[in-house]
Amino acid sequence: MSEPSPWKLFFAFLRLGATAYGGPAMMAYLKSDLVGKRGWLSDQEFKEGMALCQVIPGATMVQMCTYTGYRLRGIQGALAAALGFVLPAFLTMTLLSALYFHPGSLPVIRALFRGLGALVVAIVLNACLTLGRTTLQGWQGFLLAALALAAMVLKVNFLAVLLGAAVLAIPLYRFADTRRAESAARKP
Amino acid sequence: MSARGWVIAALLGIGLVWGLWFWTPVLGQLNLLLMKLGLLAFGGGFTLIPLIQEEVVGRLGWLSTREFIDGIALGQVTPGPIMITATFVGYRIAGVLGAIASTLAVLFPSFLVLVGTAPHFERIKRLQTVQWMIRGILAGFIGLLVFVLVQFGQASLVDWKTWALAAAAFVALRWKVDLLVIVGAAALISILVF
Repeated sequence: MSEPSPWKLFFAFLRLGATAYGGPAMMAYLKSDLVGKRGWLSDQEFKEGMALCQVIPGATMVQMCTYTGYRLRGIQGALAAALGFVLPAFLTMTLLSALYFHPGSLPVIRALFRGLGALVVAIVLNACLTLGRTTLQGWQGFLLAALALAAMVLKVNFLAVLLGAAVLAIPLYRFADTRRAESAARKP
Repeated sequence: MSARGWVIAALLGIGLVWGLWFWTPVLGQLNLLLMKLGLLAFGGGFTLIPLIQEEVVGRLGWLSTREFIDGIALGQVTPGPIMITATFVGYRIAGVLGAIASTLAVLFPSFLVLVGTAPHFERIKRLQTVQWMIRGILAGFIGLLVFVLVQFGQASLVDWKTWALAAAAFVALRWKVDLLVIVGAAALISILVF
């Protein structure tokens, strides 16, 4: 199979970007499109890409699109995929921002955002729980999260907080992993 | 990526920051900040929210917590990543040019990290210390998120109606009701109730 051109990638990801609603659930949709429908990545490649995109910074979905573009067409493909995927979100957001910051907004808009603000609180709480379940494995994770929270309350700079968490994690998780390895070795 | 690619990328990054700095100083400053935050947003785009709240809302006061919360709400009705909230922040600060620049700035570092690490991932995967550190950062982010949650709660949950709406939305999220349905229902209820 010949590799798709950067333009073809751009439009394919533009379409995906325009229909990508609903956060994590989108990953299954992305997979069915890229692996199933188009056959641009194999199952294994998709899995490897996910593993990479989950450890590096950035929006996982955007990173996954960039990765696909990169696998198919190098840097050009990566650019085409990333720009295509983000463009619909960018356009919609710019339009909505313009409406939102338009002077003299209607009372109905203010009422609307009072309710949506409450919804955002629920979304952040949900994200804490979802992200917490995957990242806080064992007491070490809970300890680090609690320390980070305490440091934020004490107005420690967030960079220092994240750096501190990274450094403290080394002995904590090393200890946990050695213990696990030992108990695994003891079992015949 | 080739050496030439890295040079072009570096020039682009410098242009995004310093070029705009001459044009509108505040935009250059915003871009530099968003690049830094984009580089730190481990664990998916959601972790960008506590970072923006801390720096752009808290430290610099370029937009209020209320406005930022509204921006996140708008990010739920747009397709694509939650990171697009950065576009809203850019628009608030410098209009359409700000929106374009901040979108590019926030995506730029993670793009470079991806094309830089993708060919070497097999080797990076075996660096146990890096893995531990990333796990630590992710755990730290949970603390940051809880901190933001309290700030958002103070700004948004002002009476029993908003509390009730947040509780109902949370239950719906846990039941995995489609997010757009929840947003639509919340919007309808808000217009009727508030």
